[in-house]
Amino acid sequence: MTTSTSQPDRSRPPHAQRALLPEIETPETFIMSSGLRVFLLHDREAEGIRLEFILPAGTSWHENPLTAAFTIALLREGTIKYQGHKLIAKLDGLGAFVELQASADYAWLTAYVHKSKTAHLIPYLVSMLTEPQFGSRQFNLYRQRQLARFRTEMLRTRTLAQRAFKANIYGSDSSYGRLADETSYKNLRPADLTTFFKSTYTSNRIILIAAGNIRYDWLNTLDQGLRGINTLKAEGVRNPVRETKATGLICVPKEDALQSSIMMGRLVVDRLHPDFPALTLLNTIFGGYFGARLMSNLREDKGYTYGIYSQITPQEMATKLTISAEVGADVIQNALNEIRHEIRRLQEEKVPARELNLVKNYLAGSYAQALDGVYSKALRLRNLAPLGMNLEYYNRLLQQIHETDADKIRTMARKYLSTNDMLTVVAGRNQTLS
Amino acid sequence: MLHYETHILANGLTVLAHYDPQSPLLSMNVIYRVGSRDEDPDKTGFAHLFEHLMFGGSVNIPRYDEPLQMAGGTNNAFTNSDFTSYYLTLPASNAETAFWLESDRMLGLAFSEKSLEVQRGVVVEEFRQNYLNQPYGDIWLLLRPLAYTTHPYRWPTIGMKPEHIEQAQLDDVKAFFKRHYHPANAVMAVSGNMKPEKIFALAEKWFGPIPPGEVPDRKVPAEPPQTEARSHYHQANVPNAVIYKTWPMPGRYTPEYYTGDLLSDLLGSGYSSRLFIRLVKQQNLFAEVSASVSGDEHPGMFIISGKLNSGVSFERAENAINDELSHVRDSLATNRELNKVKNRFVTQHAFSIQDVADKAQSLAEGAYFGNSNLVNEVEKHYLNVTAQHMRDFAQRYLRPETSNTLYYDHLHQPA
Repeated sequence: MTTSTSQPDRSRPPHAQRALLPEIETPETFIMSSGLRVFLLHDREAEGIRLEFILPAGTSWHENPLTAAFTIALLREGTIKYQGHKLIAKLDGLGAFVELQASADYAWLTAYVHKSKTAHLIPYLVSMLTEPQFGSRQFNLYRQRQLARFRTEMLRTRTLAQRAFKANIYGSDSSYGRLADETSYKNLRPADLTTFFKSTYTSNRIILIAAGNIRYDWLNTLDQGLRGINTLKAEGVRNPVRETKATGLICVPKEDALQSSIMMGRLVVDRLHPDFPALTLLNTIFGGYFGARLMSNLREDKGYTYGIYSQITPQEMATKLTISAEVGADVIQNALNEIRHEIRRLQEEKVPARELNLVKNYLAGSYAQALDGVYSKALRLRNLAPLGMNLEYYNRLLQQIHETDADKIRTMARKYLSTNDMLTVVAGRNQTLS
Repeated sequence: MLHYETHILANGLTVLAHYDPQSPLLSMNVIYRVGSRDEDPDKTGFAHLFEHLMFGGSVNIPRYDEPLQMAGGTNNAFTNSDFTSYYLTLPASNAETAFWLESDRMLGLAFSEKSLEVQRGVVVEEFRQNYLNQPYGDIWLLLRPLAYTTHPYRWPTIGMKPEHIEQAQLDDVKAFFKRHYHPANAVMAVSGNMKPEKIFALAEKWFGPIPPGEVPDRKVPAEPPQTEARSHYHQANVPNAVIYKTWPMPGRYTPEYYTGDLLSDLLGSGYSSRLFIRLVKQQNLFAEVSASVSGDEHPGMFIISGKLNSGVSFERAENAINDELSHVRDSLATNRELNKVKNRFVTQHAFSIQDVADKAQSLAEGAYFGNSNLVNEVEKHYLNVTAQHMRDFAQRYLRPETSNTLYYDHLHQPA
């Protein structure tokens, strides 16, 4: 090895090239005899196994917005075969970590386990997915814990802003716009969970994404176990999101707040729409990464906030674009003005070639990172698989992003970022804002 | 097993390299041996503020993020009480950009008075967002000065108060850089699709010419042994009262640390832990309860915390915790419990070193703590813990007279 003491040329960056997406190996996909649809991401060397079950049983599938979240959460609180506390003792004894979550559309059971313990874990997962108990004692304890969390959440300006935004952007009569309140907690009964479970947890509606050193023997055990709930039931009905646009400015007062939370945005087109790739690129330039326009202006130039981002959230019935930040109460009006200023710039001026190139490179690199390794791929697939899509979607998306030019971005900004079409919510100290 | 090679440059920079041919990426992690414990008690929060300034431009590079994003990379950094870590990931084919960027800001900073002013504002907003404008957000601001009387761990990384950050001056920043930011005071780990000899050659090319600095004396006042219990009562606008109890315990990666960590899991990690079963499920005193260790390099904290159900007094809640502590001091954990916490550790460990960024982080942290091979040895240390070790630990450290208790009450409604 030669040791150099002379300085290299530091004045310009070393040559860098645009990242190419790694060849995305399509996951092995098939439907098992129980109706279970599996996506397998094989990695023979992985020590850990990640098993994720996805069900169309999210919060929008019941009129009480808590029902779905309670149903999935209480799966760990005991089943017919492993009553009450025995189940948790078994899961923990194997060193398995089980996460239970619900979004508006889906419920997820995600298990992380060492490969040496996976076969032992399967019977407990089957029991959770086929014969949960929803005992009233466990239900009451869980409700008590969640209510304490809910009351804490209601003290956050961010939560207040998100709630007002959600109710108005989706409409409070739509299945996405319903808000949980204390009454939702009080009215919920264990019997509601049992009913919800029976109507939504059927094996022909479950998707499994498995990542790691997968073995077909335990996969078959799983399939056999799930046959017990293989009965096609009547699909539930959801109230759609109205097409009426929510606009204007809503202030949610919280007098003791040091900062105000901004939530601003609108509904946009979904992943399958031809505008979506260009909109994704526009969103990235606007507020989708650390160097974005909003961050450069409101954080790095003005110091108004610790962070400001815009993001696109695709959901089955509606996709939203939102801008969010926590901002010092004394500069909130300035912050709103600067956000609008950045929107106007995108609508009036073409994005300079250098910036456009940078963002395309950045996106290529970040997708390469997001698809590196089987666990990362599983995280990406969880949003695509329920829509019948697969990981090669990212090849197409990135290709279309690369083909998008500055004119198209300006057109997108005029079409989707008009502030007249946006709803703005500010939660914090009461003040007159415009 | 994570294979790696080590090379130390003439200027003192330690470089670790791990070759991962499965990934198209490369990750670089640079740890500087400076954290909030190295701060002046009148200028707390400075190490973390400084971390923000490291993105404000260096000798040849006006904006750190821009060329990295151009090369398809992402990056971030964090500061804790002991060290500051800067990390980035990018396509391995653009690896040289990483060496160029990180070496330039080790060579020297070139940020302006304005960039200092802006970042002071950003960090004050961070302080408000995470500590002051959140329910229960100020717990660590109250708990640290209770748990430590003397050692600089008595303030959190964000600082004691926003005023300290607002007062930071350009001269302070320059002196801080000179003292702490140089090759001999740093370790670097690189993991990804590049062979170690190439990594070391690039390290020589870009970091080799950086002048060595003097390794600073990091001596800080030691915390005197605690002889009597301390407590503090606080009220805030929160829905439930919470209780926090801490005890001094040995620092990270001492043999007893592993015992303390597993004991905290046995007591209060997960839905089958002792505290959860007895105090939440059976006695219904708490809505939530947990136990953990702080994991600091110097002697740190063993922590038990719980959110009280309404109508439960602090006295009843605390007595219930104390009963569980008597139990771990007086009797041995069962084999079943011991196997459970070890199995849970093995799973967590398997998932904690997945991608090139995790691997670079683990290697760099090991090198910082003085053992690059730590990532490969840590599992063995945890698996060697016995029930006797746990009981001994509880007897030695989890004693009533060395406890610190924060009673964080909700505001009572006027009658």
